[in-house]
Amino acid sequence: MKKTWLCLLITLLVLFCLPLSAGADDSSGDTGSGELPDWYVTDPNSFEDFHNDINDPRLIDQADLLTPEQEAQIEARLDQVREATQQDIVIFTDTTSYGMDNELYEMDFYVYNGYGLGPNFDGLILFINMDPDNREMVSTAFGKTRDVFDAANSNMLDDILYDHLVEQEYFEAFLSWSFGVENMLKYGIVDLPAWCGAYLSSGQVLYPSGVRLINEVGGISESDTQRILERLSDLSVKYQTEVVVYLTDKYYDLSHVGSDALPVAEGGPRGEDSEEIEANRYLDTFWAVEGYGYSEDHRGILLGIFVDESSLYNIQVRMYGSGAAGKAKELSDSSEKRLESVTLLNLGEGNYAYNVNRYLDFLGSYMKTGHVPHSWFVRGLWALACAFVGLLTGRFSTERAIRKNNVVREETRADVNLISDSFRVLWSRNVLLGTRVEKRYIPKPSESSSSTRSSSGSRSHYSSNSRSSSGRSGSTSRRKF
Amino acid sequence: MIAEQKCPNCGGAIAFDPAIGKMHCPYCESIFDIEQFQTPQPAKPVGMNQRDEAMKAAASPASMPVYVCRSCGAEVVTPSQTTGSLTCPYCSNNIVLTEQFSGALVPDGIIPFRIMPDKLSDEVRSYYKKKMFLPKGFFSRNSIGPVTGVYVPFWIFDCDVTGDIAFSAEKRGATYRRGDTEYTEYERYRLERKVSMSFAGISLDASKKMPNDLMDSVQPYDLSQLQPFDIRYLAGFVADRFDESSQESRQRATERMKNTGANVAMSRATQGFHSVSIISSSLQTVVKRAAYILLPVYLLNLTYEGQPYQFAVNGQSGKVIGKLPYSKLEERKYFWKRFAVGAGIVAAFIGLIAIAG
Repeated sequence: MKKTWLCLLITLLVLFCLPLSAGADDSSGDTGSGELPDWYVTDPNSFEDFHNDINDPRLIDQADLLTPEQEAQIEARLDQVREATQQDIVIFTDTTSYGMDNELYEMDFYVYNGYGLGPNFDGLILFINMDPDNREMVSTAFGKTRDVFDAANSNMLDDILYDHLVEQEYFEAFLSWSFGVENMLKYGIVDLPAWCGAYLSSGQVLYPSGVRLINEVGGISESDTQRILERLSDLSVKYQTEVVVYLTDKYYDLSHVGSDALPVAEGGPRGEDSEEIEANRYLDTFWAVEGYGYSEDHRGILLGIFVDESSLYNIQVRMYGSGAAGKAKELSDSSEKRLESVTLLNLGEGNYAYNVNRYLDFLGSYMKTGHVPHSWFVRGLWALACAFVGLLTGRFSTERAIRKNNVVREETRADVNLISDSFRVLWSRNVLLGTRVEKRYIPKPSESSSSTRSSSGSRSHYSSNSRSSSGRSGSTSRRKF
Repeated sequence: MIAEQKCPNCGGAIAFDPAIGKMHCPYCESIFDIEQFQTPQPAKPVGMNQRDEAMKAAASPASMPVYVCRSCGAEVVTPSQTTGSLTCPYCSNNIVLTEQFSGALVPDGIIPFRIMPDKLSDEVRSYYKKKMFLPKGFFSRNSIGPVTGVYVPFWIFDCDVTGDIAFSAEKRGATYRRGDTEYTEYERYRLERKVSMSFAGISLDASKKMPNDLMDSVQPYDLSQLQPFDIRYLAGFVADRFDESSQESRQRATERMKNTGANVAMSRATQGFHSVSIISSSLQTVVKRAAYILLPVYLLNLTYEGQPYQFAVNGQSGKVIGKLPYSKLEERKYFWKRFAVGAGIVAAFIGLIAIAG
């Protein structure tokens, strides 16, 4: 009997609890299953926007990834960035998103906890979900922060995080990320080159005067470096035109930094395609920031060798100032292309020095004569072309002369005796013998890709118009790790 | 039997003067109209077979080409059995052997000489000066021999040609695309055509002594200037009767017509097709007219290093033709000069581009 009553009681309890949990699910929309955190607003219509206390923590490490000391350092760093940029920076980690989508959960966290500065709640939040089944990093920008949080910058920030997170270097990840965010918010670009950062932060150039080979890639031995530096110096002094070589694996669109923040030298037309324009502007900025060039017009020639992660090269030659580069008064398009071609020829890791020296050989000839000589390969092709045309000319004209010479020949035709209008076709028949089919492959027009580059090989998904439960919009970037 | 042309005034040997188209006595400078001299029997229409038979009869050993000059009484052997007109080597009397141009051997027509022989050596010189690949020293070490005016026998044919020709040819058919591949169909046909055409005035020399290539090359002659045969035009010139039968010459003419006929049919009867080639050709010729005529040719020999090079000059138009020595060394020089020009132009072009660049 007791057992019967106990079973009945349990059944009633179960029946009583079921509608309650179903009601909780309904109220949170697509929030999934599980118990929601205290801060979560289950009825968005009842929520009113508010600003939380500026002293509230900006690092909420629910996943417990950092030590208390590390937390303190990151907290301080986030405060520093906020004060410098007047935009809120929040890092939030957790081991679950309560069955919700990470992006929505992160945005709701930002909104319902009153983060963001100013009337538009400007700021950026990074959410790390450590749930093994749903591990992801998601960043969302709100308010005016969205202006700089574009696909390129968000991808760079994700790159910084990814490299550390996969190594479980959480402190380094957040610290590096905060510096990238600061650069982005201050200068519009996450990963500023060193020379650019030094100039922007202190107004000082990084490289001392006379250092004309800047190698951020490596791959050139000390002795080769010395030899190249000597050659650069000799050429510069001899022709009173500063000759500089810059090898870099950085490759950014510095236009985000703003036209007033960085000086940009005038080095002639920047090119036609966006990649060339971007690279040339980068070099022009480098030239002006570092203060290269002789005399008032900063006369000089800069070779830029851009190396990307796939060891693909972009070679650009820029001439600045005018007038006294030996006989090379002006860098014509063809001369520029030729210099770039001789530099690019067989360029690869391990032979940078060889290619730079070859470039300097051709540049020396150019400054001496005003013309960029062609490579031996090209000269060989020309000689072959000359010989080929010569052979054709010789053979055809000789055969023609022989034909013209030999006028005594027995006639084998009676063309001149044909009465032209006498020709008649009296009967005709066409018999189809067979059909053959010729195939011709027509390649499709190449499809351009707008994917952003990623050093880790992983790609971020960027959305410029995400929405939280309350309806506030942001720009989100997310990547699994 | 011989016919001599004597000056009525001085009794000297008189000859036909091409420059004035009249008989001219070189001794007393008298000029006479051609009609004032002995007129031969008018020619009667003769069939080709008859002519061929007559040619064989005239070529028999019984008819030895020996004559007695009426002027000086010398007994002269003619250079060949076909010689019909010559000059006595002893007294320079102009003699026509009338039996060579009698009966079935009478030519159907003659084109008299229009060009004078006196400046032909200069014409030949200017001709070979334009030629290339001559050996070094040719200009200074050659010698031009005497000029001989010869009436060369020719056969003239007018023919109709009919027959069947088969061609292999292709035609482009439908073009369609599947995926990244474009397919084009080509249909191969056998084209069968029955064609007809006509030829007029095919001229072939009828003398075995004359090289065919030289006589073919010295043409064309304006056959509208053809005159009825008259032995008076032969006075002062060498003349040969034919020794190549009409049947032999007709084979050569047929070959020419077939070659031309097949090519004309290929170009005119296969429109809309490409990659056309002849599979078979069966053309028959029907001779509408065959005529035996004499055409004027000046012959002369140019000698270089002991080797004669024969020249012929069209006696009607003055066209000069001839064979010349050939130097391989000069050909190579010419080749390398042209090579240098071609290569130089390309090099200069490239240089200009390089400088402009």
